[in-house]
Amino acid sequence: MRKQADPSPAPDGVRGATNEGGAGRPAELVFELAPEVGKDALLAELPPSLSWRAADEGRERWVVLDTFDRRLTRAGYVLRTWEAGGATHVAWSNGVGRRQDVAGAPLDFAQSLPAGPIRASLAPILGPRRLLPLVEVETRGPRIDVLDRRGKTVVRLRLEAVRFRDPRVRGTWGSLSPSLRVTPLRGYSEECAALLRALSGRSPLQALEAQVDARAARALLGGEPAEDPTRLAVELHAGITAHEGLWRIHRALLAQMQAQEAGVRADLDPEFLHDFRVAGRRMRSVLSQVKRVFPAERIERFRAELSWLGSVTGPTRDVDVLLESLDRDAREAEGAGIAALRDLIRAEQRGEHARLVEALDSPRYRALVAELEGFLGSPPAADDPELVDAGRPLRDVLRERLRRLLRRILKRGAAVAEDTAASDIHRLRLDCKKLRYLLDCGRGLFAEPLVASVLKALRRLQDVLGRSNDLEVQGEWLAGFAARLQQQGRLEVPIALALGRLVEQRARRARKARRKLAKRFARFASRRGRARFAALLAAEPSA
Amino acid sequence: MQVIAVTNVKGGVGKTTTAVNLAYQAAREGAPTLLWDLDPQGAATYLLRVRPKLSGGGGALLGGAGVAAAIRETDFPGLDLLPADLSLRELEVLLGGADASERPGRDGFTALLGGLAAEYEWVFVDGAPGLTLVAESIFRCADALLIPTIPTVLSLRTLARMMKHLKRLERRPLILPFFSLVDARKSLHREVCAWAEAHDLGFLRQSVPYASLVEQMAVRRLPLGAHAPGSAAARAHAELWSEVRARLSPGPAAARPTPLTRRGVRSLLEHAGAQPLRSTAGSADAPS
Repeated sequence: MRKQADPSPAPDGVRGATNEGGAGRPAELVFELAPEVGKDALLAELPPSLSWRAADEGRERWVVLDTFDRRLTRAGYVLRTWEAGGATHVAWSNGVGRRQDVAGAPLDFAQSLPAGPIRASLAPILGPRRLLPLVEVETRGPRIDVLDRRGKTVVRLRLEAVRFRDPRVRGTWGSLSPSLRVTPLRGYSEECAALLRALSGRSPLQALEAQVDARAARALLGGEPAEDPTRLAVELHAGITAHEGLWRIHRALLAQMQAQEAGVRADLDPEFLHDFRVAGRRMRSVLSQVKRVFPAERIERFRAELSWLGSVTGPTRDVDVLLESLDRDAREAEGAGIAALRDLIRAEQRGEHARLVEALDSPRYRALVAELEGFLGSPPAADDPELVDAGRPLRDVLRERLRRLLRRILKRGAAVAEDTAASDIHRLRLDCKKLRYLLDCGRGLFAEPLVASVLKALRRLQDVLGRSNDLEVQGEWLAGFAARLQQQGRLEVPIALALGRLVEQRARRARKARRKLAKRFARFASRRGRARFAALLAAEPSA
Repeated sequence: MQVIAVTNVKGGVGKTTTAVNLAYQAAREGAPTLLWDLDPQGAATYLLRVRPKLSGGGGALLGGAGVAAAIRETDFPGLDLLPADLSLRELEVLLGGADASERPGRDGFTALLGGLAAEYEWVFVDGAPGLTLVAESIFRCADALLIPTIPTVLSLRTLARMMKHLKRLERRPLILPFFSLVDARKSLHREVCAWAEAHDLGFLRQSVPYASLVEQMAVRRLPLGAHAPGSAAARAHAELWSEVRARLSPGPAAARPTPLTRRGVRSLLEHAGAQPLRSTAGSADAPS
């Protein structure tokens, strides 16, 4: 008796058993299958207590979606989408739960996911990032239902031929090795164990990773996503010289910046520009701070050009942050005139983005990238006698710099009060950023638990500094925008009122953040905080 | 998670087939679903080809520990079954234990199901006929009581008695009666259904026709949607599920349909030509 075919077939591993089990559900198992072993050979091994029935030989094809920084993969989720019956279907699984639904619109951001459990589970993980096609997977092969004496299915088998390709290009398919997928049904683990014993009779079964999406993504992309994508992927050993270490650091930063560029140009989501700018700022900061390692005139040139790059990308980023804050605050979204104002701000964002892309297309930017690539293509010469720190251990050089920076931060921060001038707060904020960038880049040279602890304390201080700054910048931007609209004769009353409300709210919140600053700094600069930092600089690096 | 008990004091009204078919539909839509067969006869267990065996017996379920191990995945993706066997008769004894300290709490079923809330979106309970302690426990744990009712006098009388009993519950689930085993050839069936609809008495709009295909479920041991998806009976069950699901979705008070009342059932009985029900309290229902 054949099973009724689903009108909208779902790929294996999503409906039915989950790959990793959980909550009482048995785990799916996948074994390597020798190419010459076919269905008949397998079925000949079935124990006498079990029979079998051919199920539909399926072919399923789907696209795995994830963000650029693989947030869903790192959180243990798989999100798939496929077309069937004229509709876009979407399904997620996370080893414990699984859900499937029909999407009404093209899938891009969290809000485009079907309302309900799928969106509720994934939206907090996705944040503002866009869903992008990661890998296209196709599985095909005969399915077999293994039955008990009642004709009840107890295990499902699938002889899988899996292929994969890049979904953006849709070119040639690659293939994974043929496999046998064993899906025990809940409550029938004894029957499954008996089956596996029988199948192992001739030769032991070699287990593969059950999650076909992970195998396909690994085969296409050449590796796993980094656990922490914000961390710089650079190898620094304890004795590395400043010269070589900084060269490696800046190569990694340049690679990080270039990896974001396509997403920035297409304006896929605001995080691409954020990460592009962070990579550029880190480069500028570290190049400027650690002197006498590279030729001064080259460094000054790069510093100036990276500063220019920051200035041409800043306006777009400012508007992105403003739009994100408007999206986040539901109370703000309800006010009269807000919807129309948001549309106007979005139009501004598009204008700024167009100017940003012009800057990236400009000869000036192309020259900067070419020079950086040329400078970092091979280790620069270190035979200049003026480069006195080039041959010293990078760890020692960074340690000195970190100590000086911290002393300056402690001095500046101690003077902070509610009425401290904005320019002084700004300098403190910049110093904290410099400290943070040095720690981020030289992380491998210090004991990791201590680095993590210091960074955590620093982030808490930077959160308040950053928030205060963002609110002030947003307030200024909104006021400037109001003036521009008025000049253009486009400042309608509801929009003016909405602008006024937002400016006032931001001023109020900035004052609140400022009041928190002294307390937050006191905690950072406490005896315990300083002892933590001292321990970091004194300890040997992690093994 | 929402719990739908398919229930009726009267037997043979289509409880099991309704429970199986609606659970199948719910799972088919992608919602993880559990069908709990609480009838010692184990009809739902039989239909889904699961071995009628509960390790530790029915009493072990009330402790909660045996539940996860007892659940069986059916042949239909997303649909699991908590099977029944004859040991479920023990539940009646346990729930009515002479010593209160030996009795499981009144909310024993609620606690048992609460442990499954993370796994399932829907739980359908197929209970045995009769107004038993087990049935009362089901009423208490359910979010909705789906009551298949044959459009005949005897079935409506039983429904009225049930409504009276349900009034005593501290927490009343949503009452969703619908007409089942409707034989369009019979004038009584037609008139009862039409009158109930015309007077908006609170029955679900969708009814389930009498169909030999439904009886065939026990021969084929498959839900209707699996062996005859295009049939009128299968479509009726699918529509019934859509209506039930909609009724259990949150919505504005003004949009909620009229609930069924005892008065409504009595009026339907009178229309069907039955003698008015006599109330045990006396005068209110006494014939004039």
